[in-house]
Amino acid sequence: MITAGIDVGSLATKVVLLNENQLMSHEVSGTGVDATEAVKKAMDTALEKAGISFKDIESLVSTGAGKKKVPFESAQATEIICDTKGVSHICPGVNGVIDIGAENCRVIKCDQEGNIIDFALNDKCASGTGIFLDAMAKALRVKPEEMGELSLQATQDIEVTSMCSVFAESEVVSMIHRRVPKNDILRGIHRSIASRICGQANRILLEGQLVVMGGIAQNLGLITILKELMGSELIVPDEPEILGALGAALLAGEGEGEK
Amino acid sequence: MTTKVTTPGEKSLETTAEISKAIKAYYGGVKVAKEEGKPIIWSYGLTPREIFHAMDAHVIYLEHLPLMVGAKQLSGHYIQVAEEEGFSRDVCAFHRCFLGCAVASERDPYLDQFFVDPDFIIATNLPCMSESKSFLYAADHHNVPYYFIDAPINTWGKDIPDYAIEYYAGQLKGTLDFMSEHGLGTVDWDKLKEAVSLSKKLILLWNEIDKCRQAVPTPMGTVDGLTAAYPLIQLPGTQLGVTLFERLLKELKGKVERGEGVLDDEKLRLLWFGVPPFYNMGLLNYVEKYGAVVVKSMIEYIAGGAYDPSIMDPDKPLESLAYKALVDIVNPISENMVNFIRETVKDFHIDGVIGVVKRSCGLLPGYMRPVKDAVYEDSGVPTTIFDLDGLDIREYDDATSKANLDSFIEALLASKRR
Repeated sequence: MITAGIDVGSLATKVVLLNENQLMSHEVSGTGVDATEAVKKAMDTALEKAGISFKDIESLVSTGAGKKKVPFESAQATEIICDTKGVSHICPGVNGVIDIGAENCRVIKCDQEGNIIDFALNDKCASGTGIFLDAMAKALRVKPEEMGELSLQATQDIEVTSMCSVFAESEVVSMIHRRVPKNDILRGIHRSIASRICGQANRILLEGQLVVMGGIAQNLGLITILKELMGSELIVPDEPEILGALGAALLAGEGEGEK
Repeated sequence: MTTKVTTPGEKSLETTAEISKAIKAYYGGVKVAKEEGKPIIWSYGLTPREIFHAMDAHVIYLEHLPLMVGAKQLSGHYIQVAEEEGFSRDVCAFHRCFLGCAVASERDPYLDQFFVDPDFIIATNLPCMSESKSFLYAADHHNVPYYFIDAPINTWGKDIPDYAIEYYAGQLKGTLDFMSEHGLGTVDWDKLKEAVSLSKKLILLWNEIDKCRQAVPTPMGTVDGLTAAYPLIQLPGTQLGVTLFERLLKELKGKVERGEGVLDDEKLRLLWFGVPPFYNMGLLNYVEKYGAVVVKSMIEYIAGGAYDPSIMDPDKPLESLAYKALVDIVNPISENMVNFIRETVKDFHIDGVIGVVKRSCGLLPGYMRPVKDAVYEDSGVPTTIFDLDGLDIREYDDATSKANLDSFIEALLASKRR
């Protein structure tokens, strides 16, 4: 059975195609201003990579902030359900998930069978998420993908105290003016984010072996500090940004979203 | 064109519509009383309503008015007015809203229907100490006398010591004297005893109403319940309150007998902990698409919805009212609130608790963790907690609120399927 999972995030759209729960192809592309168009393009690319056509897909589930913009008939599921499903598939038996996306950070506690025990979402404030990091990258004039590596070269701990991304930007600009080394500021930013995520995780007593997913999971600087603060074993799988779409495709295989 | 994300709640009971009319009639009566030159009181908190009814006093309740303004989506405006007056966003949104109504140079036609300036203010520290200062400002603004009822903080649970009862009863006696001195005549003790007797009848009826709500499917959700609780909150000690509850009970009993619920196919029963969004009560109906009903909300029980009616002794009116106020679930520190939620979850067959944090509240957010832990430990029932201000629409984020509800309900349904 060929199934598809679509995860429409605020910055990236992810499509995963499975055949009997085995990965056929996946695609990650920018969502941009037209989520519907982004989904169509990502789907076309994924289909092309898999060498199949859309009519071959028997079941489809969509998730993510833009799931209602998906132009195909599909079932919908929340990110919490899809994240847990995807993570439990590739890392069975873990104790939980930390999903750091562009606008949201989700922490999920699950049991050995992958059943959800508890979860917490960040509030509407964007700090602690990818968009916050993007704003900081612009303020520091570095590429977002370089931030993690640069922060690992820091020589001192700098505290970024503001929780609000607007105020944090002012704080960072003032540090730049005081000629605080960029790498140290980056480490401070990562520590501030990690501290918020850690607080969120503590709210649901999250501990043990955890999978970090979402685009920001590729930021090694953030993961390093998160490990220090949480004291948990953090696993970052290959391509952590597609696990929500993978979970959606797996749900499609269970009969959700059959055409 | 502005697209609204907020919707009013959909009620389903006939008696609730009657109670809504009674609310309008009450405030209409206050307006008429003012025109006739009778003294108008502003009061708030858990000041026993029975003493006002026994004195035929006309009272505007400072927490209730913001709810009405909130339901019309006007609360954000008056909150803004209070902030422009210098009140911080950290001050309780209910207090800011009322202060905005109180100091606004112009009021919209809806509020103007029932807003009346005070002749004096009766304040208290039960349940919130911050009210005493916020409303002292209102007293200064209107240049009216201000009387303060000091309530002991309950550290005893349900066994309130005699000295605390005596102390608070003394405070109530002082309040009656103050009202007498300010144009409300001498205290009619027989009338006060009758008010206590009617108050006891009211809670007995409420307990029967609660029994009906425990039925599966439930005949009344909290969208109706929040209006239905009006007699409990503002009419204890009146025949009108008793009559309205008798009608409500009759309607609910009929529904239970016929097996009629808010939803025909009730899959999940939820409890709302914290203040619901009065400007968007449709959010409570939103969960119905999953077959879920918010059966109850804690806020319905504030001001005397959860106490043992056997303590009401008409021959000891002030002591009875003192006990009722001091055991209230929102009297801080005590375990009464946690135990109340714990019991409610069991009695009402609750599948999940929705806890909402109003950041400007100095009281309820502190209960979230203990309630979540106690309920899970006791019944294995999970709680989701997220930020949501019941009155300040400027703090509301529809997408985040619905994402939380969607995720929570999907997880509950998945758990039920296992």
